[in-house]
Amino acid sequence: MATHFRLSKSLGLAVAVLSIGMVAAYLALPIVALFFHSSPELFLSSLSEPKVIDALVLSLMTSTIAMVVIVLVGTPAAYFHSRMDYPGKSIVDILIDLPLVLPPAVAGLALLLLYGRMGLFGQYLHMFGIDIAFTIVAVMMAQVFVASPFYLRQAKALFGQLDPSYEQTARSLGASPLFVFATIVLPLTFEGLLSGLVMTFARALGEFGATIMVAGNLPGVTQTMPLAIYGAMQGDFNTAITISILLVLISFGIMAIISIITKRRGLIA
Amino acid sequence: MLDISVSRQLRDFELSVDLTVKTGEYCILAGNNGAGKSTLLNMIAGLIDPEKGYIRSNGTTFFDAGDRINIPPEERQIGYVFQNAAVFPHLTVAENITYGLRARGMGKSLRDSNVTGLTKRLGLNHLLDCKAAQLSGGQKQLVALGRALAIEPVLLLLDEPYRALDRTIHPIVADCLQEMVTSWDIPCILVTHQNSELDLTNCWNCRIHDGKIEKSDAR
Repeated sequence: MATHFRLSKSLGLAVAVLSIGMVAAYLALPIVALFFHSSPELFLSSLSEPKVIDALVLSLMTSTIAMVVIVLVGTPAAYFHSRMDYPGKSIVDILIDLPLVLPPAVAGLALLLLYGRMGLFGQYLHMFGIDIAFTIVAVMMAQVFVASPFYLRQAKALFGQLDPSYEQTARSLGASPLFVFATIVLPLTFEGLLSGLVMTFARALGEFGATIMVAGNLPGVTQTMPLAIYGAMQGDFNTAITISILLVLISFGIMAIISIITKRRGLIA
Repeated sequence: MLDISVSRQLRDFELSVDLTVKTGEYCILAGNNGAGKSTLLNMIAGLIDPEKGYIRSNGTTFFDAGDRINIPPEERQIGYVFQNAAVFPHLTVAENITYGLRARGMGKSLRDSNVTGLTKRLGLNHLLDCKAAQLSGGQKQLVALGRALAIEPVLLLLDEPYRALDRTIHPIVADCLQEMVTSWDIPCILVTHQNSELDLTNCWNCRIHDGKIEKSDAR
């Protein structure tokens, strides 16, 4: 009996070590390969290349603007969505989730068919001399489309979980709806919103498929970091690796921020 | 005087209530779960709109379906204590109690000095800097009561305010309520599940069942 127990215990331990080890190795090895192929000197020298700097600046700028747009429009939308019952609410729920399952290339093509020069809207905008496709605006529109669910879903869930009696009490104490939102709703959901925000930024930063369809791959204009990697693959392999390493570092930074935020949240609750 | 005549179709029955509560008087409203007690309080507070009728308090019309008057909750100046206390967990006890004064744009020092008597009465002075999330159930109810009283309400609505209270503080709460309601001369509706456990004078009982006031010993 005791040997049997010891045997099953060591078998369990073996399965645990093996399976966790496989998961960790499978996820870590590609990243290791990336760093292996470069050297600090190579990394630093191609870091100063204008192509790399252009892509970095463009990526950070467009992702930040996309994030701000999502927060400004998405926060009130998520709040009212979670606080109200209205016809078609479940359809809006599906729409919010749609970009998560829609292949980015499909999203990009769809955006092109809407805003492109021959598109449903685009043809009229074109009459007024406004062209969206293959501009920096198209880059951000693609990012907003694919990245919005990360913030919207989080915000929707947070507002939905918040006990309405907090807001009702605050109103009865004399606070206007806006004052209630600023002093009660936002502080009670802040950490969660922030982590949704960071995920949204990360998704926008990594956006490739929709961007290349609707915005193209024009260096200095619409070539974000993922597109620059794709472009550099044709010839300048080192540049591709350098940009990839940059993206890995930024992703690591983002994950670190999220874990700090969630830890703090754990302490408060 | 609070003068109510409201009706609204709820899921299972129609809530239809005519009720008058004089100033300085307590109406103890009893009834089973789902009888419409909390809905009635929410209507008076302006959080749910009646379909028909009116709500008047001391000559001010809060709501009138006919005249299309509907004053928003923040302008009714009603002290409303929810059943679950709903203290704001991210704020301190002092910040909770002075929240209504802050919403009215009162400065911090003035706010704090305004409520010192009240917090002392409720025995909360040693807890003023505590985050409300850390309080016990009974302490939360005291904070919620203090917060509602701090705005010097024209009407008090208490939804089972003493459920989580330690019996030993019942007399403190009763005393505090008694003094405020009498000195401000305001009506008070106190919702209860069972019989009132607070020792209050000048109160009368009524019972609500399926949205109707069934039994009342109002004089």
